[in-house]
Amino acid sequence: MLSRTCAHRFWRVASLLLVLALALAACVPAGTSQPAAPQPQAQEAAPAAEQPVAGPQLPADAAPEQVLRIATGSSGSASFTFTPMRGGGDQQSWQTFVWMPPMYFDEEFKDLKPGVFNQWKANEDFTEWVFSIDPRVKWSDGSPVTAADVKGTWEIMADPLTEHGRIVGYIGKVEGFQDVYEQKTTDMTGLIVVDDMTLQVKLIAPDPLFHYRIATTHMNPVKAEQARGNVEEFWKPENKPAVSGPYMLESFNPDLGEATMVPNPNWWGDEGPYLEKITFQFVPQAETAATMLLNNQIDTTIAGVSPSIREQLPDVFRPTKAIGFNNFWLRPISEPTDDLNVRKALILSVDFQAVFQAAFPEGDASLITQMIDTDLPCNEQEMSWYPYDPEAAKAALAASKYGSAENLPKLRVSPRGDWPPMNRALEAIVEFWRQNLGITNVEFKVRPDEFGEDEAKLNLLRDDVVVRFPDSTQYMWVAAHSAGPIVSGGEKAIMAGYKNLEVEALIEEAQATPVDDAKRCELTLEAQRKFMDDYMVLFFGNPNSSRVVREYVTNFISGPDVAMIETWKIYIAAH
Amino acid sequence: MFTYLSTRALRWITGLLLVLFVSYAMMFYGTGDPIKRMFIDLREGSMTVDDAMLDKLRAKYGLDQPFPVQFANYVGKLMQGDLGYSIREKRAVLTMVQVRLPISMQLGLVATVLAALIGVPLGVAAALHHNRRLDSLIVGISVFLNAVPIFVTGPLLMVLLVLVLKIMDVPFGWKGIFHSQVILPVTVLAFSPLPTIVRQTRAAMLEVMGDDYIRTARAKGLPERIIVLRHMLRPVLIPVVTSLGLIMISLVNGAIFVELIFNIPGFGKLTLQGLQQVDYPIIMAVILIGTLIVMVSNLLVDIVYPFLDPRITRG
Amino acid sequence: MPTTSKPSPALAVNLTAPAKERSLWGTALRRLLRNRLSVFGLVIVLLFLLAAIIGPYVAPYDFLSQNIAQASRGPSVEHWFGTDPLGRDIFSRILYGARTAALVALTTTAVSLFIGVVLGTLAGFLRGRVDEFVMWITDVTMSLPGLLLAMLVNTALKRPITAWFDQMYTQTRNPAFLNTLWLDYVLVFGALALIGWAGYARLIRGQVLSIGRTLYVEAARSVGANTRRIMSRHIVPNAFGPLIVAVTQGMGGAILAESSLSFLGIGVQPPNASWGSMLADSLNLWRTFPHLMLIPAITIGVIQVAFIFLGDGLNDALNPRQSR
Repeated sequence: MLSRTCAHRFWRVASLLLVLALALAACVPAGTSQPAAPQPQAQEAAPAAEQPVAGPQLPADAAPEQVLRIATGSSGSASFTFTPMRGGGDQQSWQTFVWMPPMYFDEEFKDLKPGVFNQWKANEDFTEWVFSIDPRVKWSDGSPVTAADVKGTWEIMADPLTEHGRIVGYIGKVEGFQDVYEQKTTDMTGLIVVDDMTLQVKLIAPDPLFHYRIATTHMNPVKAEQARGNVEEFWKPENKPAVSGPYMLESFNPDLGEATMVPNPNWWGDEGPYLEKITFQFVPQAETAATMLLNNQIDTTIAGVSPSIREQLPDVFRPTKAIGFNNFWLRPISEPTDDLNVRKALILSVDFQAVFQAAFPEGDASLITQMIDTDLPCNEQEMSWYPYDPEAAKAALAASKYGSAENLPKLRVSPRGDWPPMNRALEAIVEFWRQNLGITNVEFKVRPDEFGEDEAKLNLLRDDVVVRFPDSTQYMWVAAHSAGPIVSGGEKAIMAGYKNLEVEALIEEAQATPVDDAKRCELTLEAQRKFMDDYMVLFFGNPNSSRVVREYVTNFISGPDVAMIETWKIYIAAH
Repeated sequence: MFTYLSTRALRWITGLLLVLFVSYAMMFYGTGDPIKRMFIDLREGSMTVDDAMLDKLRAKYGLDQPFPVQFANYVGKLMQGDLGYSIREKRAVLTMVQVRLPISMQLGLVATVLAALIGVPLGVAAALHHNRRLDSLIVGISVFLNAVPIFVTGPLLMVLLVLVLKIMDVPFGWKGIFHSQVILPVTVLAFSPLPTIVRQTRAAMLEVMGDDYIRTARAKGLPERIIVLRHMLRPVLIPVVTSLGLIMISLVNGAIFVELIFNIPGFGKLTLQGLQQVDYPIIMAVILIGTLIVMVSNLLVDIVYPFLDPRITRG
Repeated sequence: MPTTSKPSPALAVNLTAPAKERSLWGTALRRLLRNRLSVFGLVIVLLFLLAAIIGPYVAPYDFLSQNIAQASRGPSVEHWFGTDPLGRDIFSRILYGARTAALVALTTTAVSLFIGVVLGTLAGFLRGRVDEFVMWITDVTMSLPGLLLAMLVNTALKRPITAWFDQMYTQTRNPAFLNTLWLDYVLVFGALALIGWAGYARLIRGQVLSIGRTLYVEAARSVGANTRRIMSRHIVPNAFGPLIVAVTQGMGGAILAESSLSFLGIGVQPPNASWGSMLADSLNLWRTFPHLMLIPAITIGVIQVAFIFLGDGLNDALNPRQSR
């Protein structure tokens, strides 16, 4: 009896162990079969070695092996995806490898260069634009890029379910946009296909800068018939998307964080592409990326690598241009920053020079003292706003409706993100408030949504002013206009509650003025002056914008919208 | 045995449902809007989408429903083996789990074996040298290894092995469990259960050493080695086996850091990704699977236990 | 394992309680002090607790005050452990961090111990349905990957509680609701305690079950002592030994868990100092300023080892069977 139950029990356990063993065995092939995905890589590698004969003539100083190794991903929340439809994100830099933008700005952010469109012109009052497609531009399947493709792409982007994050800012003023955006129709009436090579755009309001606006890789045309109905998948290599750029995705494995690109066999340009292969590895951890760089496992990374590796790799930080300062913005929607005197006190009590040092102890940044980015054609370089003045700050606080630090309601502040310099800068600012004004009731959260319901009551948030074309008027509109992205977006917006009609009138007048008219700049600078009188921003310095890339990667240049430009020119120099 | 297993299974299923309910509730009421987070993470500038669009997208992912409906939908889908559709990556969570879980399981298995192979002998040695220098050295080192967080030891070891000693490359991707890239992550991962194993073994050894039958064996004049191997080891293994659940927990937790720092596309990285991106289906999937792993190992312990310790009969 | 350990003969002798109990503790203390490592652990832990209590008063600098001209300096005479990138004195911050760590460790352990002891005793004593239910909850809690749950609890509970405080403030204008900085601490503890109690509950239940079967409890029961008396006079005191050991280990674990949460950005928020957040902040600067990483790392390591040595020493001291 006893022995029988015992045997019984043993049998059950044995079978269970067997099942477990089987399960484990099933897991192992699943694990090892997956690396089979990059196998085509290995197969491809062999023919690729013979290819240079057929490929373009390499520059004289080129290395025999043309492989670019990219570590992509900057922080934990970024995704590894190459979809061209999202309007931003960490992988934005690489879009131009695969897709040709409508137009793009040159290295100096001055001249607009032809992309898919090679000609553009507007009517007298800037309400109608005509764009012509460069007849040379072809899809990788050999078919020509047509005006219908551009129209179709932009219509898909306007559908909210496509989840394009910035479409309203680009083509929101096109006639019929709103109907597509509200999903009433899929046809945008303001985009008119004149013929295969010509697209006419009708706007509902004059815009002398519409051509600047669409000159971004967020608006890259794709082959509309492939994308429609398959927005999430069409760009993946297994669906053989037709591309217009010098390279195309060869493999993409989001689970292993690996992707490869190879040259587009039907590349229509005169030059390049020179690289045989581009490999992507998704490395979100900056420390890990730094070690890979030092170990010569990658050539470039977009992670925030510590400047200290400069000792080993002196030329790895390649200066680039970038428009847009990061600032801490005060929010007039919430107590007590609704009071001008409180804002004045909070700003004048801070020594921005010291904040700057706290933020960037290793150098590599410049102190900023004005609103408009000094890289833009119209600015007041020598102007220095908000000098450190603790006495004036105390006086301002005393003059406020609260009268003293004790009566001041709680201040809620957030640097909005996980970039260490701005956390340090904000900590330094909070300390200045404590020392100079005696304010101690400050709640600091690295992420604003940790305030929960109170997110709307935040007093200070950090953000950068993003413009994707070199225009100061647009910069002021983004920063200070109540319809611009810093102010608009409801009660949780960066500078929610700000509205100065004088500033807005000046910006709007400047916007309607042609770019080459000197009055445009005058009006913009006047708007800046009026805005500064409202005491809305704290500065903390502008990191020297740079690409972390090895010195031998030649022609590796990013444009104003972060994406690389003229990617067909990139090659590896001998080293 | 069968009734035991079936009551056990019932307890699990109800327990799992409780865990899922609590997690979903916390996520729903606490972690914030995944759709909004998605656009915030586009970076370079503030949000450019309006509320109308956000509403449409919430509806697209079924996030506009009230909590009970969402949870019921989730459980309903789960019954059909559907773990949901990732909001960020626009693909089935099941396909992600299928690739990533085996990677972490292989790492965890090797790390456990490694920790046991190192930990049990160390524990025995510590007990045999009880209260002497070797004892404190073994305990001290095994504890210190675990006391410094992985996110510190990881980068330091990596710099040491990759840049200073130049004996390996920074791991990337997944090239199988037999690839040399695995050595460093497995070693670091084995740190976390190591002190548990060393100390459990040591404590059990000490307890057994005082027992009568050992004294008898000693009195009979058996050599010490035979006493240790034949009479002590089996009782000593009991606490090691019973702490399997704890070991699994420390592995699931440790995997988050190890995989982040050593670039391993496993389950821990998926966990972090889900939490950072507030991707509901991923968060739920990792909680479900993480809990299941520990539950299964606890069940295994319950089954194996009676065979190891004859003193126990199940009431 | 607690459920299976045989009634300890040393404890079973303990029928007539208080007088002998004192001598038991006395013996234990003597045993503890005989072990050099335990003394080392004890000294470090006492220093740690002392630093937590008086640290901020004896610190050479205010842990918040910044001197950016002196930023990121290595150890020197003025600043023993150097300064951080904001020019704050690291030694002062370590001292202040001891307070954070002690708060985290003590509160977490106290809360989880309380829940664990109550539920464990109930389960072990009342048995039957209650036992089944408690063990069910315990099993479920113990199968949860703790860090994951802590992350979720931390993010999920912080918002509603902060919001509630704010609502209370707007309604009552009572300054008690004004400052919610301490909520960070409470929630870190809460998240950690929520997963920590299950181990204690299991331990206590096992002890109660095994002690409950011993002669002296049977004897007490037979002379008509009521349940509460048996519990408070016999069972809880006797379960103390293993509990103290578990507690010393739990404290070290809580400090480590806090640093993990800080690394993931959800622990104690700036400008408050915690060892974990100091470590996490050093991650992108350690190549240039290694002291930023080394000092908190060594501190955490030493405290951890001290707790373990103390725990092991207590284990040996309170469990005479093991010490031969």
